[in-house]
Formats: sequence, structure tokens, C-alpha cells
Amino acid sequence: MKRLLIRPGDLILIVLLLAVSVAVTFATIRLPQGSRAVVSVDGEVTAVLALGVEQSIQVKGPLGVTVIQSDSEGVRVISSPCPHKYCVRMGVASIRGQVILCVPNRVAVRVEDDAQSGFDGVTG
Amino acid sequence: MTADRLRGEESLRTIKLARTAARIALWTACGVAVAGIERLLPTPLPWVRLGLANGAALLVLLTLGFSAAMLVNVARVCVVALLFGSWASPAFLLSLSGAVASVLVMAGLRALPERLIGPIGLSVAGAFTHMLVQFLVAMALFVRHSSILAFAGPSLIVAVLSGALVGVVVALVLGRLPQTLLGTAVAGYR
Repeated sequence: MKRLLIRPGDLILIVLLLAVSVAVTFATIRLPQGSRAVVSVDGEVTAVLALGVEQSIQVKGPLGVTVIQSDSEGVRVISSPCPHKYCVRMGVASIRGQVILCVPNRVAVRVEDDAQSGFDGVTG
Repeated sequence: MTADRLRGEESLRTIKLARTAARIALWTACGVAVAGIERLLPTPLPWVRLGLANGAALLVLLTLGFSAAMLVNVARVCVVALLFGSWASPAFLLSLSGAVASVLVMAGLRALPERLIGPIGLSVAGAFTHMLVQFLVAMALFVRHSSILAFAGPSLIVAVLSGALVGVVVALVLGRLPQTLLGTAVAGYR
């Protein structure tokens, strides 16, 4: 009798072990959190907010005043004079390298980390 | 007459032994060859490989049994380490522990009926075990930091997929190679 190439147990094993692998992936995923938010207007750094500390600042751009707030969740733009409010709708940013942009008012908020932690790369 | 028959049986045993030795050497060489070629291919992480050499061990497990498969896998890891200059290095210890664990798990699962689990399932289990044990040993002996776990999940996913691919190759090879190269009966797995 000709045997099947793939048998019931094979499928069960593949699905089971793949599920375990995906679970391990999600359980160990840790995005690098930043520790401060650097606010710049028109390319000039105008303020630095510490993440995790509740504080808000107002910066002045070509269109008017943009209000930026940091809290335990990260940093966000509270209000902006720009027409589309994309920067407000972008919500909270807390991961290292994450950026909130307001192009019309030339405001950029970039999450950074002053103390580099973890690995930059690994080689065998 | 009895002495003649005894001598006949003995020479038959010697021939069988010589054949088994030749087959073990053949599949070890095959494992070394494919492992060497895989080392030349670029991969995103050094321990992520297709793992065809584990397929050679699986083939031997199905045809010549547990001891032969263990011998083939351990010998292969040692020869590859000597060839590529990683003998007695951390990488060598990781390969060795993975290879031994892989054969143990594949041999254990082989106890299940052949109609339930074939070469593909055994290969997937072996590949998964190899990767998992490598990470556990690396964490226990070398890195001692949980940050290494960030690589474990994606590596395990790759291991399952490549294990399935290698299993298909083993299944096809089992069905096509002449009995002389394989050895004892493998009817259930062919």
C-alpha cells in the first residue's frame, strides 16, 4: 500500500510547533522604549521632554502654537493650528526612533534614548 | 559440517556489519557535504539554516536505526567543526547539543505508528528541537541574558518551515534511492 507523503501526525506537529513558535515570538517581542522626546521647529531643536514625566509645552511655528504633551504613555501632540491635524491623530509615540510630524507648522517630535541599552547587533 | 555452517554465518555477519559501516560512512559524508554547502549560503542569522544534514540523520534513523543515526549526526557535527575551524568553540557545542537532542526526539516519535507520522513530522520535530536546545544551551552557558530570546521565536518559525521542507526531501529520497544505499526495510516510510 502506498503511504501518504504527509500524514495526520505530520500536520498536527507542524501546526502545533508553528503555534508555539509564533507564541514565543509575540511573548518575547520588546520594542525599545525611548526616554525623551526631542521637539524641533523648522529643523532647530527647541525643547526636550522627558518621557514618563507629565509635562506639556507650547512651541511656535509659522502657523501658530503647537501644544505637545508627555506622560507615562509617551509623547503626543495635543493641539495644532495645521488644517488636517494629522499630527494630533498620530497619537502617542514612545518607541525609540518614532516620530510625530506636523509638516504645515514645521514641527517634528522624535523619541530618543539618551542611554543606549541592549544590543546594536549580534554576530556569530 | 557444523563448523562450515558456523563459518558461513560468521562471514555473513561480517558482510552485514561491513555494509552497515559503509552506509553510516556514506550518510555521514552526505551530511558533511550538505552542511558545508549550507554554510556557504548567506543567512540573516548564523544559526538559521535549511538543515538538510539533519535530513541525512533522519534517513539513517528510518533505515538503520537509532544508534546509527546518533553516530551519523554526531560524527557530522565533529567533521564539519574540524573542516570549518569551529572545533571546541561555543558554536560547536551548540551544534552538538542540538544534533544529539534532535536525534533523541526523532527516535522517540518514531515509536508512533508509521501511518500517523512520517518523515515530514519527524523532520519538523527534529528541526524544532535542534533550534530550541541550541537556544537553551546558549542561554544557560554563554549569553546568560534573556535578550537572546528575542531571536528564539523567529528562529523557531524558520526551523519548523525548513524542517517540513527537509522532511519532504527525505520522503522523496526514501522512495527513490535503491535499497542498497538505504539498508534495512523502510516499507512503512516509503
